[in-house]
Amino acid sequence: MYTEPQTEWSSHIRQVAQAYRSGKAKGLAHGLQKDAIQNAWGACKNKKEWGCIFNVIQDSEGTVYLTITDKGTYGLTGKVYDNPDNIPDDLPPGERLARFENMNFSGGNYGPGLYGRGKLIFQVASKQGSIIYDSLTENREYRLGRRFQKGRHLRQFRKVLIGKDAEKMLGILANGVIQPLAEIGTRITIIDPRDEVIDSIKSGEFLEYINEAWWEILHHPKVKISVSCSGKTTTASCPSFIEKLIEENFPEKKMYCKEADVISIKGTPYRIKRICMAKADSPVPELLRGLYVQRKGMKVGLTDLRDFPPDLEEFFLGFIQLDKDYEQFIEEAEDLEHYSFSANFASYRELKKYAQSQFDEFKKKLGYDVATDKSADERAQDTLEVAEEKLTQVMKDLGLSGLGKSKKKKEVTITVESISFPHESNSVEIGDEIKNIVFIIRNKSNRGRELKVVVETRNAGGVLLEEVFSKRLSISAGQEKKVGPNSIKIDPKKYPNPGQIFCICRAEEDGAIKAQAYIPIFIGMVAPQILEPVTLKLLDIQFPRDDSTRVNYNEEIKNIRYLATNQTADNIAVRFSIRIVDPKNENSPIEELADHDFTLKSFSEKEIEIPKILIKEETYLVIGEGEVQIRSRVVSLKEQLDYKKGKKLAKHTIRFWLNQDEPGFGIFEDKQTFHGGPDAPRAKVQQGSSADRWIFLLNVTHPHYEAVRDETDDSNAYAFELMAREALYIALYSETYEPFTEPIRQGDQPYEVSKIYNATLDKILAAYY
Amino acid sequence: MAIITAKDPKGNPAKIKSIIFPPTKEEEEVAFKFDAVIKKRIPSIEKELIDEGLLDSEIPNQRRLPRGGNIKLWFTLGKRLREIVKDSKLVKPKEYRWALEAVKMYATPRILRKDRGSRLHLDYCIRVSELQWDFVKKLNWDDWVFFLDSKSLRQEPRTDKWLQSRIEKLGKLDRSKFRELAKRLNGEFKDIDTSLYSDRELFSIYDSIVESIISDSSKSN
Repeated sequence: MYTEPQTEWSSHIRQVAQAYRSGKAKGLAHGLQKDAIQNAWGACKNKKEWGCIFNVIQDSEGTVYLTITDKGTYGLTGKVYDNPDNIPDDLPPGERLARFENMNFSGGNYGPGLYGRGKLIFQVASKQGSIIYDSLTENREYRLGRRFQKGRHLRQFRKVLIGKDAEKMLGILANGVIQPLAEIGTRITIIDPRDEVIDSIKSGEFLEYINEAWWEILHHPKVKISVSCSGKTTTASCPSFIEKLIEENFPEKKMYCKEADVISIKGTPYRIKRICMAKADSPVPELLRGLYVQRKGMKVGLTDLRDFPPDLEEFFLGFIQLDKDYEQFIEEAEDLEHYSFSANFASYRELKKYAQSQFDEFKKKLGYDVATDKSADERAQDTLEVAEEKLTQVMKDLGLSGLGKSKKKKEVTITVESISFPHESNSVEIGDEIKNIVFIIRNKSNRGRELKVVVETRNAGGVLLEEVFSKRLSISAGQEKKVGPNSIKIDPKKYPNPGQIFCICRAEEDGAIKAQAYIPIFIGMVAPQILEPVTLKLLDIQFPRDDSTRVNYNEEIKNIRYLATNQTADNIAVRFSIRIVDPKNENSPIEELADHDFTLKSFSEKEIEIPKILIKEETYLVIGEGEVQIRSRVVSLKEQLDYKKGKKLAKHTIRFWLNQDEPGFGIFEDKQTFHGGPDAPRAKVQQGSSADRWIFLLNVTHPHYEAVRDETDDSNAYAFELMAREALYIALYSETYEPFTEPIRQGDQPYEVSKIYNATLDKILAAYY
Repeated sequence: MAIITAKDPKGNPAKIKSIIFPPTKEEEEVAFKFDAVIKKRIPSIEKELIDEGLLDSEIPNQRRLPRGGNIKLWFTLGKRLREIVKDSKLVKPKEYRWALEAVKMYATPRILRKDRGSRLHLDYCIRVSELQWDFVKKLNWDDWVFFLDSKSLRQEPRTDKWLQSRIEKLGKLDRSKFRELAKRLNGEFKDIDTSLYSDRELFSIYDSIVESIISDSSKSN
């Protein structure tokens, strides 16, 4: 009543051939030796007797045969089924014949591969798509089968031939040049092998491939793999570079070896048996370069290490061996041809992270400047720049405008003028008094303002602890007023011990908060280390054009204002400097604009104003047109605290475009990264410096990002999609409906909005590709 | 002055870069003069290097530039290039980078190596060639690349001046000590704005690091 669906075997075989010639695979000859030995090694019964022999033979009529014979194995054991339909679904590992003759039965711990590629490659290697397989089993039964291509079909005997019938058939099929097996094992005979295989064997390249792919088992003294052709037999051996590394015979300072490390993957510990890396004195043969992951004695895939110093590349070699559980676990990530791993699987992703950290350690040992390499966040930043530029362009091209308005100027600001702590840091004890707390309130708008100014303390949860000051202040346009000095007495009745509190100054107008400033204070506990002691923020900048950062010769960039903030309880003497740089030639700045030396008092801020930058033709002709950067930084003016003289404490870069339109008008005020892990969203937005400005945040520890981040094209497309998604979210949030492909009206049902949202997103994505 | 940095298939200038734009007639004349010089001189430098046994006559694939190379080769190349690109009658200091770009129009992959951002192979050759050969030859080319690759050393122009003035002392360092020097200097000045340091301050830190390396090695001996 039922029949199997027909398979177009010839296209399967073509696909397999293609797979071994593309991606990270190394061609048919390489794939052939790898899979043949994998099959043979997988059937190993006794390592001391195990061997694999490749032999090229020619019959009297000129037909060439390549035989691959293993020994010390079980042979093609198991039941000979009269009817293939009777093969059970759950084929036991001992049924080696049935496993060999049929596709896609899992090999279990060892044995032929799960997907049957290692069997089809024999067909691929034959010009006629024809092979013979014969085997002498453990109970000394001689078996023979034949498989060949005919049209779209792949044919084989319904049942293998046994004993004398098998011997007779071998004589016919191999024209009398191949004798029945005398030792227990299996032999695959490829009839009329492809030229690329035979050429590779003749040139010795094939043997090199074996040495490279199977060095781990070749290191075993009894294991023997040989290749015979034209009466000459060569034996495979572990390459000397690898031998030296296994034995840890490289000079100590040029080698890095570690054993028995454990990494945790989704809460389960997995063991790295050994990682070894070395820098050789002479160039390492190309096949052996890089850090490879070994699995079941076979070299599988490179670990795609980042930030390779160019002078190290050709001298570097290494391997990682895993314990049996990890080998089994990582198999899920391995490609079908056993040449690479996919970062879509945590099993490989975590190994890659581990390998990178060990490689960085080794680089440090070799004296390379690891810290200057780009971190995950820096690389993500590059990706975000590209993605935003592209998104802006796509939105513009599609006429989906309405996002990315110019930055609104803050009308009221509050800065810390001074604060005196009783001890050296912002750690205090019960009974201490914090004195001389002065804030400055500035009215930057062009009208007078009536502000309610409050100074208070709150705990980390936002609960009010004490109101220190509260007053209505009238501040004229462009003027400022000081609030203070005030002091706070750390009273045990009011304050937690230990605990973190904040001293907050807030300015309100008609019940709305116009500006706030915070000072963190730690009671009865050590203040945590501040990662960014000083921050540098751009408050304002005025380009010649309202909606663009294009600047032509002899135009001016005006009112550049920065805010430098000391986030520590220490006074820090600093130099603020600003210079103009051609990003393509960073070594010599185009202009050094200003140096300001000042002391940033504890938790205080300082506004720095550069009234204008004139883009003089004679100065900027060096660039002509293109991107220019205004780079500013704050450095330690002298040796103080933990900082060396000249230590860069904070920096800020502004881009503008000389004599050309900017490639895109940025949608986001800033693009940042965060480490949210798998439970946080892949990306999110948060409000920026004003209500209509947004900051895009990319989760660089989300598994999806980790899977794409090392492929530039993939990571750019990934960031683009998320930016488009978040840009549309902003549009919905701010009720800006121009970007959408169809009108969204008040009162639309959520599913209707969702449909329009998705259609718009799809349209944007279609324009990307 | 001006520099022709690209040419069309017919050999006409496709790109002229100049400090004053548009370049004056006189500047254009200098640009053509420089172009004529490098057009003739670069192939002849390559030939000289081949004749002197420093360079292989086979031209490598442009797409896969080889790596490394002989210190004598790069020192000699740098010395000969220096005579052209540092000739103030033809090239202004601000045009130096363009001049190197122009040289590459006439150079074969035999004398080129991959540039990496602001790490320019020909610039490295020229910088190294400004030092005394007796000192330079003690190290491999890789060691010099390692040294100049350090951002804090490459971007501080006074480093070359210091190297030249301390040849005798630095000559005591072997390859590994020299790399150690680059490593320690880079560690010392990583994320540091050295423009705040006077020559005296900067050089005294450099000197103290050299002293500590020499003293460490004498202790271990």
